[in-house]
Amino acid sequence: MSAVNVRAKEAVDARAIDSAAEQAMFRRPSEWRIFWEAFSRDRLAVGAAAVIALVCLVSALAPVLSPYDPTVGDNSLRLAPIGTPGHILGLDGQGRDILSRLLWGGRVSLIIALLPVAVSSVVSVFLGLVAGFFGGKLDMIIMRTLDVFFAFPAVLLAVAIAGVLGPGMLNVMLSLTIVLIPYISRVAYMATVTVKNELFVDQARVSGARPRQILFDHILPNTLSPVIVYGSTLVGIMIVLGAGLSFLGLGITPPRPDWGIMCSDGRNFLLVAPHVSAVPGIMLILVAMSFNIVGDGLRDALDPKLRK
Amino acid sequence: MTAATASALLEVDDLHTHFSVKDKVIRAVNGISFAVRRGEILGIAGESGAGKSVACLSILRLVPHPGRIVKGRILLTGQDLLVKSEREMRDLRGQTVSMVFEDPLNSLDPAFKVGDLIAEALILHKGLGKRDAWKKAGELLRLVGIPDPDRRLDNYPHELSGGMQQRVMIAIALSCDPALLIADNPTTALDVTIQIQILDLVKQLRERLGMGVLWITHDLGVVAKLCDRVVIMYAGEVMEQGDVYAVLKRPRHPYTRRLIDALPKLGRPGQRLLPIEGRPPDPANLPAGCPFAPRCYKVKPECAERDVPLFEDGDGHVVRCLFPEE
Repeated sequence: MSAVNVRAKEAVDARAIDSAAEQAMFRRPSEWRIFWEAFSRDRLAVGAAAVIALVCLVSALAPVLSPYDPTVGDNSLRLAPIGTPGHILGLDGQGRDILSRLLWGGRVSLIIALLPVAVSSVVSVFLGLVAGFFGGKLDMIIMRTLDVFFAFPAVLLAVAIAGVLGPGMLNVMLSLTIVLIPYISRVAYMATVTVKNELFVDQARVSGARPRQILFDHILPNTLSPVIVYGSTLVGIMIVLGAGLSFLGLGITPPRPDWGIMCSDGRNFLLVAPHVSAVPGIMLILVAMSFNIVGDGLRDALDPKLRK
Repeated sequence: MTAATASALLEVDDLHTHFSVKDKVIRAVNGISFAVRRGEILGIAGESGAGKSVACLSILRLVPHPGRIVKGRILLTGQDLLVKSEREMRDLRGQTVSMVFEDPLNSLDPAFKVGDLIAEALILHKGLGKRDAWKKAGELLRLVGIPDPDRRLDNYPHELSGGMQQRVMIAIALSCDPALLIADNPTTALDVTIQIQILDLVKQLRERLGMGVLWITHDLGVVAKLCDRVVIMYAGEVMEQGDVYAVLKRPRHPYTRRLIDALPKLGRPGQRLLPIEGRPPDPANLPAGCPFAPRCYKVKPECAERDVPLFEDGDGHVVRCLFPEE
């Protein structure tokens, strides 16, 4: 047996006598695995996640999948109903193919909904944690400043910010982000204040943990689940709010499609051709609901106490 | 006084911890002195609000916000804790001195597995890697008598029973071989059979590890079962201190005596309990002289005239009373 082999065998032996604790560590499934097992038990949430994934995928592939140019209409077929040959979902008031517009509009609507919520959640968790944990003057400054933003109705504030920044997708997202921060910060702040007074924080202090460790290891993980749930309920609202801004001429500029714009375009023909509004409206509801359901499922799967 | 013996692990000398709320000063701990020797279990007993817990938190320098240590000296292994920086205190906490709380479930972070909770202090103080810390955590769980410890490491705290949770708490407290273990009422949330198991465990660990233990309780039965010496606290002051056997068999302070009388006795069914009349004084407005005087059965006018000093008889039995029992 060569020297290399002997050494390899010794290493294997050393491995074999390693304590059972270590084996337990190796044996235990990874965090992802645990999470997925808990999440997948919730059939509804898995279905909702699949819907979101599908919508995202199809929207991303819009250039390939879209049968027509979403901005060019065929006037001879204006308001043609669902099931028209060559136009499965019918045509809108300007004779544009609704399916194509739905695909292209999904790209805009999903990004407008997701990105502001994601960005403002990160900012808000930071603000809420800092204000809630350190308290005192810092708490005063941060939370009272956010209260000023709270004083304006959300839609009005979004309109004002978007108005100042001018139209454009980026500006819509920026204004939605600013509007969201006070709301999500409140949630993160409340969670932090509650968790901060838990006995296990004292326990960490008694163990000699530094404030940074207490904040990030013990308080942060316990504040995430309310923020995730709240954030996921906001996604649907953001699609609608973004659409509202577009409708006012502060967001996406026509003829670019966006689910919100599509809904509002159809309102003139609501009695004659309800499908023009209904199709994007149903998509909106479907996506918004899916996000809610996934949010609930995430909370259940992330909280060890609710797993079972 | 006994406090000054050379083998003392912890010496608390004339400690005053006050809370300033608006214009009132609440004197939660009002000049207490005691010492814990190496390998000794010292009990601190008294009613709720006697200042026991605040005294403990003072030792760790973790008195909650409006509270402040205004006077006194705390020596742990010869080092003066009150002159240490916050950073130096953090290094001591969990390492030289650790603490177990009353409510085990709420003291364990629900987002962490038991293994990670125990590993935390080991990683923090001993600089172990995660794998080594888990290995040590398994050994600690075995030490505190948890069956199948390596599987339990993988559990979340809420999946364990109350007794198991308290054992985990003790394992965390013991993780860095502390010289002093402070336990604040750790058995009140447990039922009696589990309580006995925990007491036996602590006694056994004290023997094996040679640490000093400071055990806060309002249960004199626990004191009798567990402790070597006992401090009886009332209204932030030490009323009586001494060997457990001496204090409980032959209490010299009227307060201690009434506490013992208030306990139900085994084998005497139907006997009425003797509650102590009245209520503890308002710590924001302590009476002059002996704080127990308004409730004392042998009070004399002198009791309220001046502060009562501690009297010691030869064998370390200390009592703060002008007219002690014989």
